[in-house]
Amino acid sequence: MKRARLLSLSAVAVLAFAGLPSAMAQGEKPLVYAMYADIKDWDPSIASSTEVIMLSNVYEPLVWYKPNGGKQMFTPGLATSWSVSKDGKTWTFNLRKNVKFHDGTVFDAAAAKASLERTRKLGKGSAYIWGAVDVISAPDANSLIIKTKVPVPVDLIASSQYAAYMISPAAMEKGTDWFNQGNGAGTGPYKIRQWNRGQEVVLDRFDEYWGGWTRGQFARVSLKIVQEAATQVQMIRSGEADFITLPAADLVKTLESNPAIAVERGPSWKNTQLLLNTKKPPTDNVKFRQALTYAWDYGTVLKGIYEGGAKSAVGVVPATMWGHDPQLKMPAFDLLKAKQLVESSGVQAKDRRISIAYISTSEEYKNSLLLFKSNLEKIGVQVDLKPGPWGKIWDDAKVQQNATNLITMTWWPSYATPSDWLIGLFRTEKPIDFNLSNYSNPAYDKLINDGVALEGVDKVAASVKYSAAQQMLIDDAVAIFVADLNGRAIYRKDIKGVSLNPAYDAILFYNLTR
Amino acid sequence: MLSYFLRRLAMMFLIILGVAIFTFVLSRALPGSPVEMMLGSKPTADQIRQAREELGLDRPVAEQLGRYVFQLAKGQLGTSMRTGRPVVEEIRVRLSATAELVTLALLLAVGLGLPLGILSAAQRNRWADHLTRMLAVSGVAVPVFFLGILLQMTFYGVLGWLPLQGRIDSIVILDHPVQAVTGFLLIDTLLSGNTSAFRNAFLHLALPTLTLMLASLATILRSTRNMMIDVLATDYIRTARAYGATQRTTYFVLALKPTLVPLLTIIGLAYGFMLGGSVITEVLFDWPGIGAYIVESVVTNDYPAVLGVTLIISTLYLSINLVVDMLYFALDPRISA
Repeated sequence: MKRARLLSLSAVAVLAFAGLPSAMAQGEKPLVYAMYADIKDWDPSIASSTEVIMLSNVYEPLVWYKPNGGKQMFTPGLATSWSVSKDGKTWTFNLRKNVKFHDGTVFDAAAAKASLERTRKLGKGSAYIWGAVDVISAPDANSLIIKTKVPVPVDLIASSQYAAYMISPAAMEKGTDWFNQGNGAGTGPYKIRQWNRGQEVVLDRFDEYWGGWTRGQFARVSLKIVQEAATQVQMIRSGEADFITLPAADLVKTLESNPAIAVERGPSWKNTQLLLNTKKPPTDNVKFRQALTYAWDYGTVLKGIYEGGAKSAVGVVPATMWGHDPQLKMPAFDLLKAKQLVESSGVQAKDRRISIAYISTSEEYKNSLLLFKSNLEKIGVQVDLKPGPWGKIWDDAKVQQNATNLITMTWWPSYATPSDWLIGLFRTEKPIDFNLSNYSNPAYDKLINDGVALEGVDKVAASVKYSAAQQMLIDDAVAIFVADLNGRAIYRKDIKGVSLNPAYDAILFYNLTR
Repeated sequence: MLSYFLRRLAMMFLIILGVAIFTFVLSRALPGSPVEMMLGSKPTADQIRQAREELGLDRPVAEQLGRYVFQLAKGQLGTSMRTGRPVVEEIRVRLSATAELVTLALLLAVGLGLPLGILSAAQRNRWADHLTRMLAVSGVAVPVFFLGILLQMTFYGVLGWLPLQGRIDSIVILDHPVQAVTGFLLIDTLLSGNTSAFRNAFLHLALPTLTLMLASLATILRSTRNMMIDVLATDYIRTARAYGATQRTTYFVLALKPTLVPLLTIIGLAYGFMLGGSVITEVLFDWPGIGAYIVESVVTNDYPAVLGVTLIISTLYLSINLVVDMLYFALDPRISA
């Protein structure tokens, strides 16, 4: 009996190598997207990290932020139209009809209400974006009313890449543990087919998608977890992967010379700054801080280190976001001026030593800080570079006695609002969370609070407040504004329809064809 | 022999307890907190406070340690802060992937290392010996990451024969799922008669196995050669040859037997080492095993996962040593407890 079993197993093994076509060869080639980390949180109410690639293809928000701005800031999602009351506190969304969740449940106002209320109730991830909401109601099957305590731009909030997705009520009942087994039920064009933990997520076309399907769109998408940049490069070169996500700037340049590979650069809301600790000597001295802002070689860093991956920053609000002001008066690289400012700062020569913490895995941080260190030493300022993992350097920065004078920071907002940077990084904060400059200026705080109150009703007036606040940050030399980062997609040239949207760190597979 | 076994078992228990306490204290002494990592990109101060309370990280370290040991006594390793799933479950899934890779690598290393070592000793200072010694030196000298990339570039990039990464293409098993019986994909795919999946899994195993195998192959080959040379020079082998023993009997029966006990130690150590030391190979080939899990857990300060993996690997290492020690009795009757 055992012998017969062994024989049958051997027969199967032999057959496996007898030239049978593989499953992949039998059907249409799926789209393969190489991502560098597995999905951590599957629950769309909680997920707030690299999950966005899955979230934005499986789930849909009420409205999508429109790429490249323009007068029309939004594209309808599960809401076809919306309006706001005169006081800016009551928002009415008219919902799309004939929409189904992947589990067959019908999408209606009750489901939308339940989705948002669940996200708010769980209070995890980016749920704080709904903090101003007072009441959510569903007067009929296709109308959703959101009332807020103060005027806030609910349309912008509803277009967030996190915490704003509509979820099937039946799925919500099953709870977070069910989601975290690799399950989900949204209304998006793709449904979750399989999660092979640590290896791959397979998404299949949702046949009943309200948007319908046309020839050429992908029936299946494979999100492969590939942690090594070199492996990703080999995969895209061979055509096994259609998109890769990891390579650093120098590798991207090499890939661009390959005729089969395209590199698309587009707008992003990410930017990088060096936060200057305003409470720790010698950076508690404003002239000394100003000297540092003049000692940063902005041009060389952009050209030689970011290599086309970033643009020069004007203020903390990037050029891709409303509220950006290109007229702000920014410092430029000028070592002579920096030296004069150091000399006139009153900081004794023996005390002209600063420490800088940065994320050790970033080549861009490391190289630009080595350049900075070399320039500062020319004007008599000594520098201690302290690389480390983000968790460690962030923890240290929050406690004044462990904090360094400078810390690197890359920031992006949860939804399209300049106040995310202006509040998160610089408004008075106790205890310190992200205001690692320890900046506290009542005049600045007032400008920001006034701006936030205007956002929902008059964005132009809000922008004026934000411009004044940003100039205050520049004059007080609270940060060195290093660069506005470009969005980037590296993909095989035979893939059509790729477009980058700064609001979503993702590619919408529904728009693609081969 | 039974009392020896029980004594070793008791000692093993004490060592595991020591490892648990030591790693626990060490994890709390390290800088950085897992909470921020767990909560995503921009957690609020309230979320951090709440998470610390939920995880018990706001309690004194001594109390945390007490709870941890109590939990271990119940056979639990806690919940991963990163994934929110039980650590035991996470390790179980990943351990089978690592065990499959390591077992295959070891079988190959022994299967090749032993005969090559004998050949090398028999052909001492001839071309076959030089060639095998060259292989042995390269096995020890070439770093794993370099060898792995080299194999990837050759067999995937240039020849296109073998897959680059992963354990299996999910797409292959989507329509014909493979039921997990042993956790070893090669066996499970055979049992379910899924030839496409078997082939896919086998091809995925090839490059990581080769990469992981080479260092152990070199050690086994070198050790076999050296021991065989010593044994071949002994009087009893000379006498056996004088009495007309065949080459086959001389090498594979008379000379090999006394080398098996020390070889067993080397093989046991290599197996234990590979179970915990396959980190680079697994990361390089995106192999969803315990090595890759260690890396992910360490960089995110996932305390329960790091402690759980350390404990499991220590236990495995000790168990393998125990098994090897017990096998001595079977191999050499002169050994007594």
